[in-house]
Amino acid sequence: MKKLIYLAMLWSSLLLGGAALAGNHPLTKVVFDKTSGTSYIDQVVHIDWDIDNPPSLMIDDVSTPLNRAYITSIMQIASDLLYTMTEGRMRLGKISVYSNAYLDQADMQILNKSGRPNAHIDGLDGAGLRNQNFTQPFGEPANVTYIGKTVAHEFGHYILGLFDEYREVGKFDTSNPSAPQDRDTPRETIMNSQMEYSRLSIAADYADVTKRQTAHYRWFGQSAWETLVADPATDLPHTKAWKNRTWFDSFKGMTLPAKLAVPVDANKARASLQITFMKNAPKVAYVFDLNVTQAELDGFIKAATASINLMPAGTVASSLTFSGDNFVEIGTVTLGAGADDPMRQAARDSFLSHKATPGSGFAGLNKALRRAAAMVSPLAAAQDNATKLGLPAPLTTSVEIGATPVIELFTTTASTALPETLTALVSGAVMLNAEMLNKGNGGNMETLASATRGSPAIASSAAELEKKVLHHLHAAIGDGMPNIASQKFESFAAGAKLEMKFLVASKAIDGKVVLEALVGPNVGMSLELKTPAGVTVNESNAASLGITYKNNSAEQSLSYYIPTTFPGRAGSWTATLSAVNASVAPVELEAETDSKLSVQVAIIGGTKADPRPPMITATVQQPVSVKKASVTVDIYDATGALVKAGIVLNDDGLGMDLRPGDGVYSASLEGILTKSGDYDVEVHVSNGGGTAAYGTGGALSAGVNAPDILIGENFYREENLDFAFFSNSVAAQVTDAVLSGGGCTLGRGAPFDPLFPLLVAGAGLYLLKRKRLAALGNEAQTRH
Amino acid sequence: MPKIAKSLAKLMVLLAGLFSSCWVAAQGDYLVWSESGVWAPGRPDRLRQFYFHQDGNGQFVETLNEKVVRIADLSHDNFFKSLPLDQLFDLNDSYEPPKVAGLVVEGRGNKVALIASWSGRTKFINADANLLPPLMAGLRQKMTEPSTRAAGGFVSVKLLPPVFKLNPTELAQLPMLSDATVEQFAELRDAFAAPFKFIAIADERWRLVQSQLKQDGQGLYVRTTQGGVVKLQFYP
Repeated sequence: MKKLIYLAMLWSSLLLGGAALAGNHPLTKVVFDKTSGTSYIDQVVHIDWDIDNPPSLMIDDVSTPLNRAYITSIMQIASDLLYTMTEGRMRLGKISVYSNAYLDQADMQILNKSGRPNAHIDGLDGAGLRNQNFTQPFGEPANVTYIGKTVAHEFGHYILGLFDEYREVGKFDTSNPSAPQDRDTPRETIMNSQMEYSRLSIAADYADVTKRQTAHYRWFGQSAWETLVADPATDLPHTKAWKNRTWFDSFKGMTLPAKLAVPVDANKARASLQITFMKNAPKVAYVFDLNVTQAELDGFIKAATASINLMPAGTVASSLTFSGDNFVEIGTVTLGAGADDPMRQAARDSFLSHKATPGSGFAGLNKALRRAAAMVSPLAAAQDNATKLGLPAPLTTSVEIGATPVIELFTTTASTALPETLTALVSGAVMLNAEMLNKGNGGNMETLASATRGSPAIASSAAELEKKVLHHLHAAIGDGMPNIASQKFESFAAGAKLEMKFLVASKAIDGKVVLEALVGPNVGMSLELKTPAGVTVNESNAASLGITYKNNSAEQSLSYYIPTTFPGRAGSWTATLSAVNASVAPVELEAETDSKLSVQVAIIGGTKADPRPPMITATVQQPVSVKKASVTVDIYDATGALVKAGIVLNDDGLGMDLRPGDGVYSASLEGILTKSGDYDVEVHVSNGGGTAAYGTGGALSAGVNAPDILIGENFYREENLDFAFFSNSVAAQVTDAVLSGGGCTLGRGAPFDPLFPLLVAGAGLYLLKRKRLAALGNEAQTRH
Repeated sequence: MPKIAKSLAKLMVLLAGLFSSCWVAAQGDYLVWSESGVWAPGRPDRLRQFYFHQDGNGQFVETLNEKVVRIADLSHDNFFKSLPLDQLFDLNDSYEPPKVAGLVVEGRGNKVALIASWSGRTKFINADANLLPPLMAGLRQKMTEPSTRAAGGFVSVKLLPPVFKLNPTELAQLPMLSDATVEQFAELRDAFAAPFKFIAIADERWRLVQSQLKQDGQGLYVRTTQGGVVKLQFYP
């Protein structure tokens, strides 16, 4: 039952929290109204508290709850200022606010803590880029006016791509021209002080050659308005080192303002503002491809069934199938609480009734996806109706989306969607997660999933796909069940004994430990453990020793659950998987623990979108940072061949490492990865040297660090990450050719991605994959 | 011009430079500890500075928005001599988070700048207050702040760290601080003799300095006759 609950958390985390590997959120959009020349900016906001049970802060000597009114006021003020600073050419539109969800996918984070507001330059269309704000900026609770105006200042960076125009006293470092310095000559603009000014700089502000020292002018060589109006192609070459600046339709062809009107009109500024506090339960459409073998379809059903069992109450779940030219809408239920809920049972039963049905072509797939989009997204439904009636597409704010629209598609890599299907999904703000069996390179579901900010998964068998789906969930939750160790055996002979040793720490570090053998379709397998004291544990004596054994035939796994109360638990254990027969499929042993001490692995750079040399980071936390641990990584290529072992990751603040002692260990992979392709990194974390300690160092905010606490015992963690490395040379050869000539201001906000037909027309899987990888920002799925 | 004449001319320039730079070179050994508090546009900008000279004299200053609010002389006896200067010179130049490409972080955190001049060498260290190496953290604990209030104006010569580099065009635009100007103002001579130390100067005298340099403002970046750049900072 606990595992069910755990899996429920994982699944809901995937759907509600969004897969960490996805780009930004499907609800983020820029919609240009040609009639008025105004752009509506739809933003996704993450807040790190429960909006239904909001905490309070003493703000201006008044206890102020951080409730819906608080968020609404911030957004209104931000929209007012965005409208004013852009001379009425931009205002906020649909604002989707998530409580404790979609942290990494949100455009805007409002965190209930102290910190320095920050934003990525021109980050609106970038995976993992953000506009980050705090309820207590610079250490003090601030009122909604301050925060709202600061959010607008950060929009100057995040949306418009502008730099600061203030002076930072005492900063003499000239090596970063786009950062304020001591010698700067501040301008009277919002990019200087948002509390005093509400306009952007114009050419006249920089007429005096002796007063041109600002971060913005140093970078662009012109004022903010000159920058916005100019074609980014004419920007100074060095400005393109980060990413190409977005040229918004609202500023194209505009006469450069010599004098600003600085319009202040709350009615107009808030005319399109629609703030939605998102429900925790999503709307999910399960779409099954029946044009597979029954065994493969059973794999799809198994994964979907596991998820439907575990979805949060209130989830609206729909089911559709397709094959060839046809699709069938099975029905929709709203899930109640508990596994025995009759609606859940109805959903499960509907899945089980699916039968493999041969078909040719993908007309049914396209119809099913567009119908599914309309079922989960009222916006997609409204747009579908408008299309049918020949009417213009409705604005995103014409209907409210209160629950995250998600399509879970179970299909093959051969599946191909039409451009209008992509349009329906993207413009309808629908996230597509494509779970695919590998059936060749002809399809475009990866592209479709990435364009909708969903996640693609590809597996060679139904069993592997099911595993990958579950592993996605492990990656998504982050603080669930960290891996202690894992080992995969590709093949084995009859009578083989497959061993894996794993270290269990005391209950202060490791909670309940689960040793699981994923045996797949192999039969005649048995699993034994040997305790640190040398006692053999098997299915017969496990219960008497206080260890739970489980043979889960549905999941094709054998498991032991070792509680923290097991005497003499800390130490080295051995798991032995015995095989009566020779293998028919790979098997895997995994040791996991219910622990807060976890490792998160990420790759930065190495993509077309981010062409910096690749760097790996491993964040070790509990949740405070864990310092001075031993962290190494082994890298394997797509064939499983070892590329390099024992690369040491450091947390010393030197070289590639950001800050010393912050628990984020880093190493450059420059020169190690030379060829584009898929790689697997396996990160090992331990405390063999006994130096690891819990610490609080490395935070940007002010304050005195608490003393480190020595952990004092060894522990082990292992984490894997699949990722695709994209070498610059290949990027230049392939992607540039495809990307040149694009005219879409912002792919995600545009009704149709101009790249899509090119890709569909036969650019081939290679191009498709590159596109996906660029969109994903190389944050590929974690697997165990 | 004959070669010999060129050489002589160069020698003259060099000697003149050496002579005129006496007010820069005659500084002695010192250590400056400067703390800048958390700051953002529109918020107060506070700085605390300790200055310790090898001769046992020192100074504590606190400024708020570039105005002196506290200043006091310090007598530190053997404090300077007890400093682990050789170890300080072995530290990194920076204990700050590296820049993250494309990310703009507003304002400033708690920052520490340490400048040490010792045996003809100068060391600049910039650090985030929560990233101080143990040697610097330990050093700070030995410094105590007096509570004296301030009055009057002050000038301070700030030497600029190696990370401060201007391109030739920017450099050429800076005013030249002539030897004659320095000679004319005893306050400037004193300030150059003890860089970073706050030297009393009357408002009208500062205005005269501004007038000679054809500049306005409290902080003036100027070229010296040695070819370097310093910042003259006036604190009302």
